[in-house]
Amino acid sequence: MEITQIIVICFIGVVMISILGKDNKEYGTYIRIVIGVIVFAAIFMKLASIAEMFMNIINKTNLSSTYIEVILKIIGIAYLSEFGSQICKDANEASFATKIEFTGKILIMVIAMPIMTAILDEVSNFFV
Amino acid sequence: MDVQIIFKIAAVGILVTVINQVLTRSGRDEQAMLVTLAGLVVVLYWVINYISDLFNTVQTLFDL
Repeated sequence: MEITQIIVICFIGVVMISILGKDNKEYGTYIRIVIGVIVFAAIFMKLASIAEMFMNIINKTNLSSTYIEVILKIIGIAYLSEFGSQICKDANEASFATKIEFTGKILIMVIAMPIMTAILDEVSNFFV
Repeated sequence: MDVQIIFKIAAVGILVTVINQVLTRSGRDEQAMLVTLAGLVVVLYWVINYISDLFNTVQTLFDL
């Protein structure tokens, strides 16, 4: 199962980083980044099939697929900003992590804005 | 899912550390700094390819 592979890869990374010790921490950061990429590459196919399944469901029920696209975009931004902020936190740079998260939140707000305005218009129509 | 990259990075890290110790003990601190930079640049070159792959796959997957 994939989960065992992922766990083994992370254990290898932990051992490698501890071998490197604390005098060359930059290589530890490189290893953390590379492991993040490998784990995502391993689980990428499952994620793609889930996204495809969602799209099929939405197309079957002939709803407008803009909502699912917005949801997928938000998930993508959330994943990337999480990836970046965790790497920064591991490197003891909490300030960079908060900056990345702050930017991610703003971008998500920007993407979600049209949907919110659409909902508010609908609601306001009820009261008119 | 190639795991060799992790071992390669660790190997470069250990190698640079050893070379650094040898060079600093023998009094050549400039070369030690150069070796450190060289090791960093080599590993950065490998890692940058991985990072660009990650960002491309995420962008195509979530069509950002």
